[in-house]
Amino acid sequence: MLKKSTLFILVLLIVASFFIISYQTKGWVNFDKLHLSHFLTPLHFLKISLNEILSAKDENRKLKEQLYELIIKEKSNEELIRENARLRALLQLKEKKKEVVAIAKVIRRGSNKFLKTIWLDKGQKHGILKDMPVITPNGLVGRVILSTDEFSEVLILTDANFSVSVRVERNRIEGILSGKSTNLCTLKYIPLEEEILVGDRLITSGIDGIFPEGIKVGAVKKVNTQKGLFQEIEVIPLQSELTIEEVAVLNSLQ
Amino acid sequence: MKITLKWILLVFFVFLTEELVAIDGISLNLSFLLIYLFVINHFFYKSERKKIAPSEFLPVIFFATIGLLEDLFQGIIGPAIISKTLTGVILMILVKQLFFHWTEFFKALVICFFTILDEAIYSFIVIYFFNYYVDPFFLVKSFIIKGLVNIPLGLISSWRKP
Repeated sequence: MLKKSTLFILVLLIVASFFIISYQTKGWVNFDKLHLSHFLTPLHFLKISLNEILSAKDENRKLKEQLYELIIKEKSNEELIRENARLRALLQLKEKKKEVVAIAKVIRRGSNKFLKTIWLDKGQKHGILKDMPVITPNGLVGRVILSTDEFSEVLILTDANFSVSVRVERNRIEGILSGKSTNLCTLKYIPLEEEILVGDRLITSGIDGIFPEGIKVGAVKKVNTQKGLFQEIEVIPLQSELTIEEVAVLNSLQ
Repeated sequence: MKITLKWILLVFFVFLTEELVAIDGISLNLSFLLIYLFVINHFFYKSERKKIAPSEFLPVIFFATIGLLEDLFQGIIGPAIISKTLTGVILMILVKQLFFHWTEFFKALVICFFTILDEAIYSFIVIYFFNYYVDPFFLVKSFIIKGLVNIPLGLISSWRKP
């Protein structure tokens, strides 16, 4: 079958690998991830630039329309902010600030075998650190799991290893939202007696110490109260993972 | 020297493609094809034409190197070294059995089965030691997709070999 020397090398390699694995699981050793972003980024930017040139005229028209709408809304918003501040002062509530650390472009999908990730074109040089929340104007995207000098990797909301503490906007019920490794998420730990309706919007609650409160996350798609202690709630993220182009990285609460 | 350079370029190209291409969010396992090609070239070429017993040391080191590279891209060292080396060695044992007739259908079965075996060993180690949560249905689906994708690529790259 195999020579004795081959078997010896095989056993040696396997034992050594298990030793390294056990050291990594205990956090005693960590290895830097190798990535080819330096090779892939120019290709991606070339593709983006071509798309931008083609869609610039249309985008310009849309932006002008949005600008006029925003000017109209600005006045009423200022009033609301002042009123909100007055009410918060009355209630003695301290607002946790959502500070944008950097605006980054998505350069590619991650190639991780178990995690659904995206790579951003900005990293530690631009202030991005591990565990920082990532959002778009539509809602939550995920959190930073790796940050190199120039690039960073973001774990997407729909990954099964992602969790965030959320609140139902309508009735303030709190739960934990996790990904399902499909394009949907699941809302956990909502007791059967609580009323959750299809279409209810979820926002971050801020109690997990990572995500600031009030970030839009998703909407309830399906509710099942038939079995178990808790409701089975399917949530569709407000920001589809397929259409993420530009994101904002926020300061973590930690 | 020329052959070494060819393999270095091939390895680089395969890992670059693995980084770039995904099907339905599932990354591919093209690195197993490197192992398959290496075993086919190494054993059949030497045993049939030169009539000498080919070295077993070189393939094992090659499997471990490919595993190490894959691990470096995943950020966890160890699981792919084990899966790639084990799969490669089992493939090596199979290739050394002279009673198999290597038809295209048999090669397709070998490629699919060994790709799935490689993925299964890797996934078991990562899930068991690093507590990753993966939906079992998604895991099985990804195994099958990776196995099926490797069949045509493996058959084309080993056309008329052995």
